[in-house]
Order: sequence, then structure tokens, then C-alpha cells
Amino acid sequence: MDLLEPHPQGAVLRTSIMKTDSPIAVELVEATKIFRTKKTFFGRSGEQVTALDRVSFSIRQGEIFGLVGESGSGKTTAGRLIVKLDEPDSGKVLVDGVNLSEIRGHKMKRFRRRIQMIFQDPYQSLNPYLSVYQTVCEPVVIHRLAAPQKRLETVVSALSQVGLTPPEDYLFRYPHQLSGGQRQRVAIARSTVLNPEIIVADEPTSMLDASISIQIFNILVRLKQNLNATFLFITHSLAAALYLCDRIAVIRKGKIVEMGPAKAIIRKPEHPYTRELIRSQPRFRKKTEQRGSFRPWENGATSS
Amino acid sequence: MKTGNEQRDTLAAPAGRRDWLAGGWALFWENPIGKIGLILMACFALMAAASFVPPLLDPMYHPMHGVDPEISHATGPSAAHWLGTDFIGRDILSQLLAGARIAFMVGLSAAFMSIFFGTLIGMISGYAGRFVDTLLMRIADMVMVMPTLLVVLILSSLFGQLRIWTIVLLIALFRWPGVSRVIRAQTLTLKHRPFIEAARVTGASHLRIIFRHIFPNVLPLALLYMTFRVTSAIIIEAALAFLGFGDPGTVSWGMMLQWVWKTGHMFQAPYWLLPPGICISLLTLSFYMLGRAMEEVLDPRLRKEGESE
Amino acid sequence: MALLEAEHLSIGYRTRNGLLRAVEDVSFSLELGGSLGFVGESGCGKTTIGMALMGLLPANGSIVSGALRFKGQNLVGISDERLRKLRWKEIAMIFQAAMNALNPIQRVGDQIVEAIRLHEPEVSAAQAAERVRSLFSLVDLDPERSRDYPHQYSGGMKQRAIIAMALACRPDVIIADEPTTALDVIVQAQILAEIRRVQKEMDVAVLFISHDIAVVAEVCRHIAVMYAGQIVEQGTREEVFETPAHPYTQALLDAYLTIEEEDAALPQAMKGETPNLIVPQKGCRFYDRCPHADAQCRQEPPTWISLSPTHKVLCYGPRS
Repeated sequence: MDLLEPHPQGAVLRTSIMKTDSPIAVELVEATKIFRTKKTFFGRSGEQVTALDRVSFSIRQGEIFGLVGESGSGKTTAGRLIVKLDEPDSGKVLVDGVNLSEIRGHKMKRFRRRIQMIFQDPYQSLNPYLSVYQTVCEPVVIHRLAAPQKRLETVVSALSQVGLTPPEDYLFRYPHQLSGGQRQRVAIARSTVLNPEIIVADEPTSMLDASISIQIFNILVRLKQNLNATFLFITHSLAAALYLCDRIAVIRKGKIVEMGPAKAIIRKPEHPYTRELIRSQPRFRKKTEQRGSFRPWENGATSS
Repeated sequence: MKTGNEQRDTLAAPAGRRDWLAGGWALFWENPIGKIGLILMACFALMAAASFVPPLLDPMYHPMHGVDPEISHATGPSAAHWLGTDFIGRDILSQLLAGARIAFMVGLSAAFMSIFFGTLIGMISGYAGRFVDTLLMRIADMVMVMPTLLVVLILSSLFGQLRIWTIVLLIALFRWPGVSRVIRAQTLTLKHRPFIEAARVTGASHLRIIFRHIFPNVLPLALLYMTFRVTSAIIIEAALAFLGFGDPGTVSWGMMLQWVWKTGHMFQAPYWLLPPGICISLLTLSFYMLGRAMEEVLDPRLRKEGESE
Repeated sequence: MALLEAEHLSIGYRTRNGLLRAVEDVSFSLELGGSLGFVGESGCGKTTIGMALMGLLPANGSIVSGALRFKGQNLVGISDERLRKLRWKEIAMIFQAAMNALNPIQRVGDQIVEAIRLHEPEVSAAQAAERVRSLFSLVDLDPERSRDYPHQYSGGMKQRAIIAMALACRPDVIIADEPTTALDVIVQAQILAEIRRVQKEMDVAVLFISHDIAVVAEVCRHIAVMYAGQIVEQGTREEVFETPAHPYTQALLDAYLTIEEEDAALPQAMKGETPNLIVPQKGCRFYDRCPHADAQCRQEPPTWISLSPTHKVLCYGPRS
């Protein structure tokens, strides 16, 4: 695995890294997932909800692929199929050409090491009774990645990679002593400590404030370069997808309505739903050029 | 299951958990019910510890075999016997102290065992689901509807006098289903929490998920139920002993009450009847109060975790 | 006279570790028919202000000092009885979780009728039902749907019904606390348009609270940016968004990703996190995260600097 030099600003590289000729890492082929709701209290029979309806897409190695959709569009379900938290009812999920539903037992455990997931809600995805060290160390223990005396070192380096510095301060804290942003960093450290090849990030910032989201995005972009990993980035935010993703697919009610390079889709949407989505974005133009024309900490102003 | 490193964390006594405990303790202590319960329990624990003293002072204070040579019938309080003696001249105070020891032993060990089985079965049942769940919960239902006291009475009349440890084991075997129901329900809600799914994605085995992730989360609830189980175990043992099915080789409060009744001193010797009766009520009350106070400590915290934490 | 006015308002929560000053020395005013938006990140105190206005502070929270006036009447220390009368009738609220606050076993229309008759007993049931129908058409809901139960509504429809309910007693001011946060973008755009239109048509003042600058920018003419319990910048929408003066406002605007940027490069992240509000701070609360901070910022509290009659910023004057 050759490491790319991290970009000084930790960003920008969004289109340059895309290689159209690199092999396909993950592929969904006509994947369908149906959820059956239980019978209701009033005895109405169980309903079926088609979360994914014959969805196909493929992610190339080293790419950030964005899955953009609203709540209930099936975007999270697609991510869960890839990490095998759910099984498709029909269709296939291929990772490096291997059908996931055929992997079992020990092979499954080895496979888990290669594909990791970052969950949406850092308030829910960390065990409240485990310290930061125990949380991040767990994958290392499970996969026997480091000798017991090297574990601390591994955890410390994973924590500093996600910007929890100095890591020693965080090792023995519990989730309830951390802010949302810090928790999400711990969750990211837990999934990246295994050096996975594929990372599914399920709305990793939807529970966080804007300024913290930017911190997390920057960490993800840097990690992606360091690990040379493939990313599936699941989001409801077109803007975030534009900034982070090489290609995106817009998904609605379990079906992909539009797929292609992020910029092309957002600048020239073809599908009416994508157009509607773009039209609904809050109109708010940043006026960067005028920003900070007044700087109270430098030049004068009358104090009142 | 613990590796060297994990043990080190527990040794390092993370400041975080200490805060957490301290906060819980403060809440507990603020609650008058918890305070009274704890003080009461401490008194009984002192009694149990003190039970070793009288036989050392004088063999006639042995609760079971010690007999005051000068007294051959039930007498009221005196300088030599602060609470009086029973019908053959045994010291009631030393019997009372020994009874405290037995009550703690029976209560805690029966409760611990029933919590152990209940938690284990509840976690497995809730986590495994489907067939295993149905099977275990049907068994639990069957055991739950059996009246513990009646079954133990029948068993003891079949097999003659039961030893105290057999009684403890029987109580534990009949009292786990309630706990396992509660723990199962808790496990069901935990099972789909993202942190359990996160552990699955990292490749954790089922055993690891149950013991490392689910267990600490259900432990507070299990401990809470343990305090209530202590109460019921003490009462069951006392009832058995009072009915004459206790272990004849031990001096328990129920046994004392049985002696009072059997020798016809019910209305003649209040100094003999009242102390064991009061002790049973107060000790069970103290565990009950402890449990109620613990419940209040755990409750807001559980709620808080659900919404904002 | 301002409709709603806060003067040097401080609100604290008693916690195990001491008094948490969630809101400190906040002053603002809202004119009849005006709109004021509070924007800031979680823990900045914006929701606490909304709760204080409604008299819904939790048991451990209280107004420590300052005044909160509604039509000249101080709401601090007012009796619960009077406050209950003001609530809904004159000050109504739409909040994030409101969608789930509808009673699932009662028809939506009946719930609104009940709310009307509770506050205006003189209104007959038929009149109230008539009013519900007109409210439903006002918020673009089919009046026929008032006979449906909440579970038959989508999220957006529930939020519209909540707006209808808030307007039911013709209040003078509506406090909207993150009313669209739980909604999808397309529905959010519709609801915001609805709030804007209703505000104009009914001439009701809106106090809008959100973490999302763009959402606030869509609805409000005046903006107050909050950080760590204080308002750090206040002004008209154009002043705050086009010539932001406070470093925090600038960072907040930077952090907002839009699809309109031509060259989409991730902005630099603002370092650090919101400070602990229990430990009192001597200097500026933004000191740790401010790219321009110097020694003075740590030692002395910042002061209000007027940039225009409407625009002011809590920062430091010229350095010698």
C-alpha cells in the first residue's frame, strides 16, 4: 500500500485522485432489500417497505463515492449491505469480485477487517461503559493486530491521527465525558485502527455542529489519503457531497435517480428530482470577497 | 477473557468511572430512603460480625449448644442474658446475632445465584432471539408460575430435612425467571443500538458482544434486582424454618420463631418472640430501601443516556 | 415600544458542579411584525432563551438577572397563572420535537379546536372548527385532512399542522426553535416559505432559533449570532452575512458548505470546541478558537462596538 503525501491543507484533491481505470472495489448488483414491519396493535397485517429496489452501482478503488438522499431513501441500507449488517433479499454485493453472502465463519472475520463503517450518531455508536482506550483497542484485540505490549502504541497513534491530541489525555475517558465531535473522532479511530481498505461513512456529521463537521471532513479526507482507502460517503447534504466526493449517486425511495461525477450532477442536474433537491437548497451566497472588510481587532472603530 | 492490557485499565482506575460512581453515590446519599436503608443494613452487618464474639466469651453463649447451667426454662432479660434465654436456657441475644449471619448468607448467596442465572439466561435469550429465545422464555414462564415455598416444602417432605445450602440453591433455582425477563428486555433494546452493530462490524464474536458490550450495560439493572431478591430469599428461608422445614443445624431467625411457637411461648415470652420478628422485618426492609434508592439513581441516568448523552 | 425585549438577561442552570451560565448578559428586542434569528452552535444558549420566553425553563434553570419584557410587562418573576395565559394566546411556539407532540389518538383538527377553546372559552366549537379550516388553508393543508389522525400525516404535514396550531389563537409572536431540523431539504424549503408567508400575512413577529445559518437567513431580517452564552454579533441579515465582523461569525460562515462555490475546496476547520460555561472566564470566550487572539483578549472582556445603527459586534476596539 503506497501512502500518498498528505496535502498541506488536507483538501482540494477531490477530482485529481479519481482514476477511472482503477479496479472496482465494491459493487452492488441489482440489490434489493425489503423490510417487513410487524403487525400493528390494531391487527393490520404487516407492511412491506422496499428500502432498496434493484440498486446497482460500483465504487472504484481509491474513490470517494457519495450516496445522496433524504431520510428513508435507502441510502443507509445500501451502506449496511456493504458491511454485511444486513443481507440483500435479492441481488448481490461484491467486494473485490467476491459475493458477500458466500463469505462465512473465519473468512468473514478476515473480511470484517477490510471493510469498516463510521456510524451516524456518535452518541449511540460508542459503548458508554468502555473507555476510549478500550473502544479503540477492541478491533486490535479481536484481529490480533499488535502484540499486547504494542497495543497502547497502536491506539495512541490512531487517536493522534484523528486529532485527539495529546492522546494520553483521552485514553481513560468515557464517552459521556466527551463532546460530540470528540466522540465521532473516537469512532473514526476505532474503524481506522484496522487500516481498512473500504470505509462506509454513514452521515458521520449529521449530529454535529457545522464547525465540528468541517473538522471531521478534514480528518476523513486526510485519512483517506493516508490509508489509500475507498470511501462510500452517505449523506443527505448535496453540498458536503460536492466538497468530498468524486462521483455521487442520488437515491430516492430505494432507486438511484442519477449518478455521475459530483460536480457535473450538481451543476447540470438531469433528473427532475435532483433539480428539485438543488432548488430546495437554502439560498445563501457567501460573499467571500467582502468578508472581513471590517476587522475590529486591527483597525479602528468607535467604541460604544 | 481479560487480556493483560485490559486488566491494566481497571487497575489504573480511570478517573472517568470514578466521577461517575461519585455522582451516583451523591445522588444515592441525598435520598433519605437510601441513607436509612444503608445504615440499617450496616447495623445488621455489625450484628452478623459480632455473632462470633459471645461463644468466645463463654461456651454457654453458643447459640446452638450453649446452655446456661442455672436456667432450665425461658427467662426474661437479665445481666447475664441481656435478651433473656429460651426454653432450655440458651442465650437469645447470641441466637439473634447468629441469625443475622445466616440471614445475610442465605439472602446474598441465593440472590447472587439467581441473578447470575437470570442475567446469563436473559442475555443469551435476548441476544440469540428466535428459537433459543422462545425455548428459554417458555422454561422461564414454567418456573415462574411455580410457587417457590410450596415446591420447597414438598421437596423437603420428600427428602427429609434440607441442608441450608440446599435451601439456598433451591431458592436461586426458582427465582431467576423474573430477572431473566427484565434482562432479556434490556438486551433486546441494546441489541440494535449502534454500538453493538459497530462491534459486529469490527468483527467481534457473539460471546464478546454479550460479555464485553451487553453485560456492563445490564449489570446495574441486575444489581438492582439483586437487592429485591435478597429480601425475598430471606423471607422464604424464614418461612421454611418457621414451618419446621429449616436446617436443624443452624440458628436462623425463622428457626427461633419456630421454637417460640412449638414450645407454646407465643404469648408468654415477648422478649423471645419479638427480636427475631423485628429483625426479619427490618433487614428485608433495609434491602428493599436500598433497592428503591438505587433505582432512583439509575433511572435518571438511563433516561439521560437515551436522549442527550 | 418593542414587542419583546430582553435587557442584560442572564440565565443559569444549577448543576452538580456549580452554576452553569447558559446565557449571559444578552440584550435584544423584537418589533411588532419583525423577525429576529438566533444562530449558533449547540450549547450556545439559543434554546435556553426560547424556553425562558415561554416560561418553560427546566426545574434547575432560572433567570439570574436582567429583564425580559413582553409589551412592557416584565416576564421575570411573573406568576405561572399569568404566564400560562400569555402562552399560546400571545406567545406561541413551534419546536423541533413538536411533530411528535401531536396526540396520536385524537384527530388533528380536534386537537387544534381544543387548544383554541382552552384559551378562548367564549369561542363556540363550530366557530373554532371554522377557524381550523381557515388555518389549514393558510398553511396549505387540505381542510378536509383536519379529520385525520396524526399518523396519516407526513412529517411536513405534521409540522404545518403545528404551525396552524401555533397561529390558532392569533399570537403576537411565534418562537420557532429549530422547526425544520428534523425535515428533509425539500420539505424544509416548503415549511420555511410557509413561515415567511404566514408571517407577512398575519403580521406576526417571529423569533427564529436555528443552528443553520442558511435557514435563519431565509426567514429573518435581523440576526443575532450567539457563542458560549453570549450574543457576539447583531445586525440586519445583510450586515451580518455580507460584512461579518466577529471572527466567530466569519468562521461560522466559512464552515457552511454550499453548492454554489465555484471551486469547492474544504474550508479550514475552526480549531477547538465550545468552552465550559461553569468555569468563569476573564477575557473573551472565543479566545481559544480565535485566529486573531492576543494577550489583551485573554485578559479583558470584549466590549460592544457599533458599526452602524443596527450592526454591532462584541470584540475589541483599535489597538494602540
